[in-house]
Amino acid sequence: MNALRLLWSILRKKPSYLIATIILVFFAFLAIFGPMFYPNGVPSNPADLYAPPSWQWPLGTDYAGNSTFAQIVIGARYVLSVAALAAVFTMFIGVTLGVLSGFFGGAVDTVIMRITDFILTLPSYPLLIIIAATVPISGPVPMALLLSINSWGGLARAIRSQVLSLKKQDYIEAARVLRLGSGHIAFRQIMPLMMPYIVMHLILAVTGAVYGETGLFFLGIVPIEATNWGVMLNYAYSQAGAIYSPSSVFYLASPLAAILLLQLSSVTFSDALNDFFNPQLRSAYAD
Amino acid sequence: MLLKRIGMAILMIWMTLTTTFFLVRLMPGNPMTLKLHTFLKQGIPYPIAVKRVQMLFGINAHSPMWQQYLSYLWEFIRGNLGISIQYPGTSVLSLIGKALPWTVFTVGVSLFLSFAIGVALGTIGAYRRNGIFDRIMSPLSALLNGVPNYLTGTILLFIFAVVVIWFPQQGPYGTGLNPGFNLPYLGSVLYHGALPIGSYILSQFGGWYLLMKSNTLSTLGQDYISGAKSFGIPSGKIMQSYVAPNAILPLFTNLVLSLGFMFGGSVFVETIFSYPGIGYLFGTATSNRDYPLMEGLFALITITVIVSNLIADLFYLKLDPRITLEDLN
Repeated sequence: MNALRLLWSILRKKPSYLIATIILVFFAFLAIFGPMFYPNGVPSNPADLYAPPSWQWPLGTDYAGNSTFAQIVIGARYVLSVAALAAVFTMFIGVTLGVLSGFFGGAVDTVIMRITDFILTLPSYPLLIIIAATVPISGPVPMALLLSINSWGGLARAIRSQVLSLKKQDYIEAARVLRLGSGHIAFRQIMPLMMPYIVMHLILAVTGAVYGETGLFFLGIVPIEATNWGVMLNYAYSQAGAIYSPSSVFYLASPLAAILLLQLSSVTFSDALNDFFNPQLRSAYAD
Repeated sequence: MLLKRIGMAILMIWMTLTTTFFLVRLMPGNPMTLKLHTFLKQGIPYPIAVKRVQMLFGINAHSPMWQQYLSYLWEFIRGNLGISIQYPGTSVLSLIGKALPWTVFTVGVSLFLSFAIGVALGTIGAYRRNGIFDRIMSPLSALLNGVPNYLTGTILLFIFAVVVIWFPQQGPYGTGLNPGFNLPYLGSVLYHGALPIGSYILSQFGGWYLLMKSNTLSTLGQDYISGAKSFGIPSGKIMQSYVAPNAILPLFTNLVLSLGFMFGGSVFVETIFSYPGIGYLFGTATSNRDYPLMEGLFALITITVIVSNLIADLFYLKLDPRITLEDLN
């Protein structure tokens, strides 16, 4: 209860934090309930191409008369579920390898860090593209796995250095004297202290994954399987040269705006979480 | 120590080649087996089909995997990257050679401009922190820094080549021009390069702004700056001779590093503007499943990143006498 009250006081003090949270909650709402508003799929009228925004078409229509607004709403589920899954996979790989590397040191550390260096060196988009071109990708889970292949490097390094400094603390020495076992010390004693850091990076990993997936759909490299924002960008580009006509402005701008809004509010929300978790910043909000 | 660092880079390049080889070769339905089966279905006898595949991919599909792998590495060292599938009869190396200058031009110019803009504005932002300029620039930079270049590219294309037609939509230069060292051609190249370069700059300079601002702020807090002030040295002189060099120094590493990463990011910008650099080539190679070309381009891009890493380390060593190679590892 106390934590919630603190979070609320942080959000209330800075309007940008509050707006970001509201936008994120709104997107989460779209992702969960969005497709239920359109049980019959995207409403469309083939006679009404590139319609301007109106009561019937809140964001206008696309090259085939499909409602742009409905595509944004329905597309949110795929985009956000892939991003959330990818972020969780990234966290899992990065945290596990970082903790193992920092805690055990020696040969384990050397091997894991060499692999991490290698992954960090590989240029990310070309790697994703070449894998997507060789391995058949379909469905949200393989897509999320693909996106997390090379996104965990920075996190693993950061976690490792945190573990290295935490390892020298007195209470870890005490746990060792009590013979609590390495697994217990690594995952029960050390990891909870890094939770704030992990949660903040989870949010940022979501935005990274959104960019990655929309980029792949935009290039048309992964098979198009569902309505989502990246596919919309791809169609705006490839279908009948929609991008080359000024009348397609709403069809083009809507997915762009959705992606940018999501990015901006995620970054702002992670700042808010930083204020929440960081005791030095937190005291500024105490009444 | 230097040899060890170079050895690491070579090890990385070897790992890259190995990864690409096994990624493309071991996949079910890999391009070589597919091609072999197509030939066999066309009624071509097996030995001839194997020969043809060998000509296409530079690898004998009949031999065991380790032999294929070794011959792939050997051919790569000799500079033979195979023959493209989508442009039959053209070697991968010559395709890359034709595309590379365009990417080096756009990426190089954008990197230089975004660095210069970011450093200049970042210094102003640090000196006038909490002023109106920094209050606008810091959030704007944070937003732009994370935005991938395919979004800025699409937005620029739509605004400046569709809504108001100030710049051309695609291509490296206008039609009917004589490529060479003449004014109309060079002017057209700059004119056509403006939007791709603008897209890179928009998604890059924010990062430089934030880095430069924080570096300048931490340099301003150093004792030797207070010392210089107490000697009565004019603040313009302090900025030029004490603050700026120390604040920019760490940025050089990032500068060389981002060169490699921009090569990778060129896939999107060049596809958007149909700009015939290596990124565009990579995009078309992927959509046509031109595996030899894809492998060659991926190897080239990755080697660029690895070599820039190496250069960044050596460069840093030279610029900052306090750092040793030991610290970098």
